[in-house]
Amino acid sequence: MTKTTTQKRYGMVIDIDRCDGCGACMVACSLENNVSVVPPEAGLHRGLTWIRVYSITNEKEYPHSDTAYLPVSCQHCGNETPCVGVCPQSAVDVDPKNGIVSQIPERCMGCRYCMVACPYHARYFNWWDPVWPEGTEHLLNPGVTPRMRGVVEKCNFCHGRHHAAQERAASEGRSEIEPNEYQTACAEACPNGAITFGDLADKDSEVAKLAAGPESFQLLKTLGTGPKVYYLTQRSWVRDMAAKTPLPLDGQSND
Amino acid sequence: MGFSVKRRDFLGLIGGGAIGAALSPAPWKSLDDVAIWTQNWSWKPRLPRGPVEVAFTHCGLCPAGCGLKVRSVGGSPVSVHGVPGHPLSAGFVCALGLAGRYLSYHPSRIVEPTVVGTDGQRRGIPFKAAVRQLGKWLDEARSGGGHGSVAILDNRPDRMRSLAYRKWLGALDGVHVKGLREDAPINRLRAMLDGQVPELGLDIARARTVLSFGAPVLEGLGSGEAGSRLRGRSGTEKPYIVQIETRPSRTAHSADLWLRIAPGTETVLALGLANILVSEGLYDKEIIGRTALDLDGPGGYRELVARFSPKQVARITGIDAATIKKVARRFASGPAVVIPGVDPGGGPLSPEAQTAAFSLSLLNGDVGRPGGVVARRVSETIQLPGTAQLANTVELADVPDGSIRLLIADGIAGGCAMPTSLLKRKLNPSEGRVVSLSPFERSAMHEADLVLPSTTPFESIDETGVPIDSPVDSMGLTVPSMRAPDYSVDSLHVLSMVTKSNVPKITELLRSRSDRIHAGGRGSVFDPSKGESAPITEFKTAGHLWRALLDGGLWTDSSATFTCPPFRLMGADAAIRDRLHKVLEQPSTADGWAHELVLMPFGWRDAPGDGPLPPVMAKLFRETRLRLDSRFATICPGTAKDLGFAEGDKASIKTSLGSITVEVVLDPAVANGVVHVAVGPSTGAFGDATREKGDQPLDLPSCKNDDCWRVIPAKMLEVVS
Repeated sequence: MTKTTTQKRYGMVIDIDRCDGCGACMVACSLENNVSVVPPEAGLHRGLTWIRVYSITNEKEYPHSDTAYLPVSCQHCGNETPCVGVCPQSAVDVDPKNGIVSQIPERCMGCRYCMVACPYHARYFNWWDPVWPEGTEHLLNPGVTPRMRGVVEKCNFCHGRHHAAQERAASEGRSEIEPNEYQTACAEACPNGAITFGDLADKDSEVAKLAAGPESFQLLKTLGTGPKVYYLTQRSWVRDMAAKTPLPLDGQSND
Repeated sequence: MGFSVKRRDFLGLIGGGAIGAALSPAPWKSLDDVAIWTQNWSWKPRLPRGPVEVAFTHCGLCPAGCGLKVRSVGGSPVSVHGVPGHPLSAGFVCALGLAGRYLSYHPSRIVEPTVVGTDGQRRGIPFKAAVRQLGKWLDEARSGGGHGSVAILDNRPDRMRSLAYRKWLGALDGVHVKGLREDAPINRLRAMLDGQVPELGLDIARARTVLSFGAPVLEGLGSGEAGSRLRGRSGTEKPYIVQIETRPSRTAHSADLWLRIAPGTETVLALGLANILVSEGLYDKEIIGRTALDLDGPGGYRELVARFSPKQVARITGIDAATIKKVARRFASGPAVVIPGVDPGGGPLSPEAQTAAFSLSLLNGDVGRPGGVVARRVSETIQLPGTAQLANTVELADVPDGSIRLLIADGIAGGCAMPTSLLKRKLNPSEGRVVSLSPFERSAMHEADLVLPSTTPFESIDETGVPIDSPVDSMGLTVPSMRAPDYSVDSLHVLSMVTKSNVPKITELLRSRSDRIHAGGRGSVFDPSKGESAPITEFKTAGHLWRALLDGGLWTDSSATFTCPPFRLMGADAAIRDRLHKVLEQPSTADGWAHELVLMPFGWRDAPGDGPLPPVMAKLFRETRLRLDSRFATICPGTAKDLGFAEGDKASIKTSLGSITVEVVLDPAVANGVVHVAVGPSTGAFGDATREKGDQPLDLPSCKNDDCWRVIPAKMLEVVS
């Protein structure tokens, strides 16, 4: 029997200067993870978007204005993960083997403490039953179970893909997943190559090199939550904005 | 000592038990179980089951024709991925391509033929009755009108299906009309060249500089392969992208240089750039002197551009003179591509702006050189059965006003929406009728007299077309990954029923082309399952090639050489030359600087300008407001303040033709004196097809003069509730 045993630390680097706000990452994520189509009255605050692209500006007027797009998903905090400590149901799980922070919907009782605790507004509550337009249910990804009304959900680095990659590796007698075998849907879909996903513990990986680079930073680093999602930009105003507490993002989802 | 239980003890036991139970997981677990049980109803989502299959095809949602790997479970396509190494798409799939399969279940899907009755109400009719009605109108149109009274509007006019349309129309003395497409301006360049000119492609990928006049070059224009190079992802040197645009588009945001031009002044800027090329001698004097037919002499190009000094151009366009000089010198430093963009909602630039832009390509010697404008080999026309001649193919702008009595609109999406008034102008005012073959209620066609439901691109076989940037001809098929519903019809089947003639089936037409390609023996075929190409000579029989295409393969032709013939820098059309000479004298409606407020409608590139959005895209853009639809108007805070509006206010945008009500959104990136409204499907009314049209902004432009509606003089008024 082959076991995948190596300690990993999966993370992501998002190059803000490459992101043009096309939203392909959001679409790919929703399709991959069967994120339900909530009704139009959901508005800005009650929607479901595991990765959400925010538009931020330097607050100057044309022609000196500058816009940046900031994709924000669960940051998979590696230190004192805020959502873990507050969950009364132990419905938030941090996998010690790879650092992925997961939500267990069957345990979640919908108290939404985790949403309050999350400083990145990256958790979403199912206010409605998971429904899709008539006829489209048979287009859903059969590898991911839709979540029910009344529970919280969030990015899990495409857990279904991780499992599939592990299974493939084990069935071929390998103990390791090759880096190109496991990619998140958002990284795969980004036409600009703005999202790089991989093992931060592997110093030779592209994601680790980018995360260690001089242009790299983490959102709200001063909180000490140790996010495993890093950002890159050469624009100082974007860095300044990303360091503000709370994050100055419109339509935050902590409703 | 006896054991006695007092009332106090009993209450203590009960109380203690209750506290103990509350501290145990039991009640909470029960509560949780009950909560889960309440979700366990018959409407809970059922995931697809069945055998897993993987197939390759091409996306038919736009002319880019990206290669797709489709994974199906139980016959349903559950995921779509790009095909690495694909010669045209290079593994790229846009958001629309990822979610496009959901369109088959869109609430605005047309599920039965409908006709507008004498009372003005639309009602469903049986298919056979619809065909009879179409036949009756066809007879009336032919008896009442002459040449061109019957027309087919085709958004992708270069397919084999289009050839069958032309044959059918030829027997009726009709015309084949090209719909609005992103590659339409190339015909303007062809018209500037003398003699027989082959099909032209913009070699974006190998250009040193891309001069884009509002073209969505970083939003999916052209092939994915070109997009990859433009974004610097292919490992080759990235072209330098200059985006000339008023609106803060995604391309403007990501371009190497964004020239924030005053609305409607593109002609002036193009001639200003030409002024620097000419005055500084940044062109090959010997070659251009020999091939340009209108460079010198009275009223010549040199005389024209001399009036557009950098200082003068800077004053009008709002771009400083130093930047104009810098861009002109960069442009002249190597092969460059000029793209007068067609906006999915804002439409094309004016004819004179397109001409002025392409004159830069001619002046720079880019026509016929790699990295500029290249020619495609064109296969010999396939002969279809029947004696009728092929009908002419013309641009919509060239169709005489009021000449069409029966217009049949092909259902394929072109990616561009157009104003209702533009289409209506071409119809006979009293007897003009429109028949739409479409899967959805869409854009200008929602007012069609008769609507027949057709298939979506994931349900039917067809050709993908050739992307605007492809230097070679190609053939890829959209092989169905979903079963077409029983109520949908094929356009060629309808035509054959109406005239009781022998119109070939689409598979026969495609097979004919495949066989012709095999007989030609040119080019290579890409196998998506292996990720590699093989010369066509390796396919022993025509049947082998056809099988490869049905398996998602792509044939690409070998490249052609092309020497630029003599040309006219101001074009052959005297009216356009005249307008070029008068551009400084008579600011037209297109010259936005003459107005206090202008409306600039626009469309999102990878949400079809003339079709609906897949539900997941509608939901995400609604929840994030990443793409505002036609219910919102973006305006800069300064202009809004001057007009008395604040964020979230309701406003009425009024033009000479009507008004729409919008919600004001302040955006500091918007230019002063400009209001932007998106054309396209509403993200806020999913499930309510009647509210989804989203093309109301296109009811506002008049389109009387130049088929251009980019810049519309408008007023913004307060809505009194």
